[in-house]
Amino acid sequence: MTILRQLSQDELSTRLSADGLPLRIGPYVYRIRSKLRTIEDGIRTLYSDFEIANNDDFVDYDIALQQKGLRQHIHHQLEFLFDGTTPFNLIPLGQAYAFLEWGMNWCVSIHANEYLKLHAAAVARNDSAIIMPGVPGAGKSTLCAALGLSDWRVLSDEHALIEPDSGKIVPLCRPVSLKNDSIGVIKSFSAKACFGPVSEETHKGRVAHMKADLHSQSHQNQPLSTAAMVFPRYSPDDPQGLSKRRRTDSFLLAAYHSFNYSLLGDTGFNVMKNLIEEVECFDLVYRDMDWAVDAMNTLVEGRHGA
Amino acid sequence: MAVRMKWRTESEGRFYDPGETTVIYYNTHSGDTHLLTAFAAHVLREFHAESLSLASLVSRVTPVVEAGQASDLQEALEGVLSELVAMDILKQE
Repeated sequence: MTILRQLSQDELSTRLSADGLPLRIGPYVYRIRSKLRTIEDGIRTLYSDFEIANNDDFVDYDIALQQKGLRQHIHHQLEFLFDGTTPFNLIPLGQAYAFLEWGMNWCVSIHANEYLKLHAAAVARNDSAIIMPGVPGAGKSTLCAALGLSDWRVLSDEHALIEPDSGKIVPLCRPVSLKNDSIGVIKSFSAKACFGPVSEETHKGRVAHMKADLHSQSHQNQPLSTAAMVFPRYSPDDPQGLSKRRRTDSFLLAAYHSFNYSLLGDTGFNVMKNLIEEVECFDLVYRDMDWAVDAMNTLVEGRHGA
Repeated sequence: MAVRMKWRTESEGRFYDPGETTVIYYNTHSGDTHLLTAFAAHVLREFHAESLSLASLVSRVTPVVEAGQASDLQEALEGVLSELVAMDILKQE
C-alpha cells in the first residue's frame, strides 16, 4: 500500500500530469489528472495521508483539470473533465483548486445511488456518528472543521452516505470546505488547522479547504451506526442551545437536503424512516465554537440533559 | 359537499408515525413525501383499500373524537379532505 506522502515531488508531478493519480477516498477511487501547480500543491497538502490505488484498480471517477489551447491560456481559464467530457463552463484559473474539490463532490452527488445521500456533514466520536444536515451557510462545515480539530473524526463534509441494508453511514473523508470568515474562525480555533490553496472571488466568495483526516481512524472504511442527527445553525444573535426537535420535521428536512431521496422511491423512504427511528434529533444554535464542540461532546458522552 | 361524493387514495402509501403531533406520509403514486397532522393521518388511514363518503367517514372517525368536538367534526373532515385532494393524496370519484 502506497501513501501519497511517500511519493517524491517529481513522482507526484509526473503521475498527476501523465496517466493520473488514482486516490482511494472512502469507498471510491478518484483518478485525478492535472499539470497545474496549484492542484499539485493542494493534493500534496490535503491528501498526503491518502492511499494511492493500484493502476489496475477500478476507477470510479476519472477527472482532470486542464488548460487547453491558446484561448484558455490567454484568458486564464481552464476546464474540468469528467470521463473526458466537460460538464461545466470554463473556470477562472484562480479558482482551480476549489473547482477540483467541488467537481469531486459533484461526482458523488450525481452518481453513487447505491446509497441514500444526504447533503450533510458527518462526524464521529467513540464510533458513534452524528449527521449534520444544513442549508449552505448554516455553519455545518465550520462546525465540522472545529470538531475535526477536537479529536472527532470527520466522516464527510458534504455527503452522508447511508447504506440501505444496514442503515449505517459510510465514511467519505475529504477536505472540509470553508468560506470567507469561517477560514479565519478555524485558523483562530486551532493552530493544527492545515489549509490548501485559497481560491478567491468564487461564486461562494473566498474558499479554502482544510485537511480533514486528522484522526487515527480517518482512513478506516467500516460503516458506522448513527447516534444523532443535529441541525446546526450559526447565529451571532440568538441564544446558544442544543434542543431536541421532532423526528417528523427532521425526516422532512433531511429528505429535502438529500441528493437522491426522491430518486430512490420506496427505498429512500424506508432508509430515511429507519435512520430517523434510530437517532435522536436536535437543533444546535451556536456562535461560540468551543461551546458548540462541548455541546456535541455531550451527545456522545451521555451528558446531554444531565 | 354533495352527499354521494366519495374519495379514495391514489396509492397505498407509507406512514412514519413516531407518536408526535405530525406524521410523515409517503405517497407511492406521486413519490411525494408530506408532513400531515396526526388527525389528517388518522383520516387518511381510514381510506385503506376502499372509497369512503363524507358520511361514512364521519361515522368512522366520531368514536375517536372527544365528545365536545363532535359537532365540528364534519367541517373539520371537509377541510382535511380538501387538503388531501389538493396534495394529490386523495382522489374524488
